[in-house]
Amino acid sequence: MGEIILKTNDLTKVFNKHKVLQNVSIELREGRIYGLIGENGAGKSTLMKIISGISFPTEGSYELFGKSTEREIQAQRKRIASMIEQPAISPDMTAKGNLKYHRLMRGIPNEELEDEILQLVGLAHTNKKKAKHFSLGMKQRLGIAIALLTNPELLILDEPVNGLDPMGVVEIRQLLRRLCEERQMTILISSHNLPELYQTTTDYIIIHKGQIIKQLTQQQLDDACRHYIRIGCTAPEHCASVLETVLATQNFQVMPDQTIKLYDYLDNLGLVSTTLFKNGVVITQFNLQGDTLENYFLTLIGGERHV
Amino acid sequence: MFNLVRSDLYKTTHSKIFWILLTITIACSIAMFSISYGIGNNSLNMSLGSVGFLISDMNMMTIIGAVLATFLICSDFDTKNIHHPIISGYSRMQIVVSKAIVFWILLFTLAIPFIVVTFIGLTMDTTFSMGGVAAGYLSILTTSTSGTFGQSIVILLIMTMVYFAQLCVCLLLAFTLRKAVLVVAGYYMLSMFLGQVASFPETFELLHNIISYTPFAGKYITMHVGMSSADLTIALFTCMIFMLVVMWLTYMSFRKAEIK
Repeated sequence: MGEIILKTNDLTKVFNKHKVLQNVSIELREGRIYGLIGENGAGKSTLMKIISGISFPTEGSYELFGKSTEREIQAQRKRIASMIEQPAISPDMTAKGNLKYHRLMRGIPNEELEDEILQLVGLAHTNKKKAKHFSLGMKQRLGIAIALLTNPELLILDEPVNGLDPMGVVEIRQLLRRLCEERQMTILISSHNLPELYQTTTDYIIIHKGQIIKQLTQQQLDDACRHYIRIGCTAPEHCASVLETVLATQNFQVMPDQTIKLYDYLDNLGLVSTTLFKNGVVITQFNLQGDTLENYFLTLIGGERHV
Repeated sequence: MFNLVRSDLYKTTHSKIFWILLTITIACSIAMFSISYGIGNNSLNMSLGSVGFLISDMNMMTIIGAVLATFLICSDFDTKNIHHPIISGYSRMQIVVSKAIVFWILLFTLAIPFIVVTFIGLTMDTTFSMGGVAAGYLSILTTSTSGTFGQSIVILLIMTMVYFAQLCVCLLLAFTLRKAVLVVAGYYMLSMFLGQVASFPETFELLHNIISYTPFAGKYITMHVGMSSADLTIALFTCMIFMLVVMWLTYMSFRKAEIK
């Protein structure tokens, strides 16, 4: 486990008597990619704004790189970068001009960095084209380029693949993974779509109506969404023996409620049921179970599941 | 904070708006000089004085200063560029002060054409007139008091300070209102209202007395080379105190402000 980069303690934010965030407590550790998932209006951007210093919590506190006072946190912000809601760019400047503006603001002397980063995000070809003439995807790339200028230790991205074409989504996904692996960068990335983040993130924070309702790792999510055949029977030991000897599989689990989760033969339920029956297993329950990522997310937030 | 100033100067000088504003002030200063010279030497009709006053520094700097403040600050709120210095670890105080420094540097650059023509006029042995109405650099140019080189420079610099102080209200408006239209309209209405107060001191007695302690007082917008050192010192201190108060108010309004 890497060191704790960010820790929030019961963060609450109230806007016009409406609680946008309620007692949000999360921990981000070094070198991991966290997906912050929630519907529109769930509080994702508000949480990111508070961490970035653009907004202030009504109650609660947070620690950035282990520092907790306002002055210390402000100093630590030099180690983070963010792009919230939409890329903050100067529309009348070129991509390179925008990068130079931000490079000067951060006091970075290396002029070659501009070209390197433009190359990295795929905007090296834009030359004298002004940012106001960029497509939404190009603006997103420029926003990410600006965020990467300082080689931050914590990168906060609010819906960064919005407006990107499928190829662009793949490129940004690969870029984020590479940054995480090569530079041990911690990334907090938001989306309202769990499947969209599935191939990028290592950890998930699910937020709903301003509250954190679940925090889980990729492994835990995989387990939660894994498909299996649930077998209920009178003698689970005998059933397990038949699965091992006759069907030659050990890819199953005997659960505390004495049912069995079988992860093989998902597309051949007939063979499993026939084999168990022929070998004297009395079946009381037999069905295919498991969730799609989308349904799992909808179940968590209490929404309507897709059939 | 030096980096903030540097980056804002880079952005501004790479924008068309700044160069358009500079072109306007150059054109207006030449026109102001020419018209006041023509009227002063009876080669132009006195009725042109109202046109000359319209394009003189007092009117132009009011509009240009407000536009400059919106360009520097409101556009950053619109494009969300204001997020970046905060995320980069700059304090809100540093952001306000750096914006003010950039604002004053650019304002001085835009005022240079008016300063230059006024200085040229002061060195010429001739009469300038705008037919009775004059304020700001135009007032210095048309007041028939001759002074030394040093006095001319000092009075021009103090007049520039008066503009700095008056227009720093635009910074407060820009950080508070955040919308360009509101800032330009708000400041223009304020300056018009203060002009009325100065014109009718009996009607707005209390307000007039209060304004007399600010750079908007009539005595500061109608300065001339013959003013005493004491008056100039008071003008300078009034401007500096006013700027400090307005900057403090600006910081207080932005200190804990939510940014969309």
